[in-house]
Amino acid sequence: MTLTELIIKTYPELTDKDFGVFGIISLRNDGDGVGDYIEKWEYSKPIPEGLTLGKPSA
Amino acid sequence: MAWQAASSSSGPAFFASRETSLQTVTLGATTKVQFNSEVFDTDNCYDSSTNYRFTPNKAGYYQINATCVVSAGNLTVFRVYIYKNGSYYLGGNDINKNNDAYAGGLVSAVMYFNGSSDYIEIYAAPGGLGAGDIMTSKSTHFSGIWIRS
Repeated sequence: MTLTELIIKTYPELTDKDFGVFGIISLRNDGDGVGDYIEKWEYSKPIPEGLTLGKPSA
Repeated sequence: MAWQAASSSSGPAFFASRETSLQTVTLGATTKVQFNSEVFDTDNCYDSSTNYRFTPNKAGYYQINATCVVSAGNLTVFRVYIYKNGSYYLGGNDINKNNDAYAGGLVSAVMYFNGSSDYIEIYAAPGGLGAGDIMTSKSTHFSGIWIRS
């Protein structure tokens, strides 16, 4: 399950427009082996349990 | 009257593309595109193996272009972005696919670089759920050329 799908599973009301540079949630992957991470979280509800904001250490 | 030296009127130029394998991406995540094959790179300013970034060694204004083709089963929207020094700088056109399988995006701009630390990278932002692939060909390319100081 992708990071996007994990978030949608918790908050199914979210749509495509909520994700991305101009959305309230921005997911990013720098292609350095770290994988997808949450770069920005401006949604009114908390980040789903088990996920964290920011780029984790490689 | 003397002619201006030719060296002052030229600068770096490069063209890189995605050639050797598909790059798998997560729909919904803005992902750096790994252009891993150089067609030309006059001044060795493009990194095609580690960071996939253009760091020109001559200050001035550059014409920058990038295109990217992505394939996914349920792609909803697609955009291509330029990131400068690690942060979003500008985006290209929005492609609305309505769950079609393929989309191609482009971004183009004239940008200033300081000739030392400034660098740019290309990110792709496919929307939807699931995974997709950035396709191999020169349709997925990143290029730039020095225009003037």
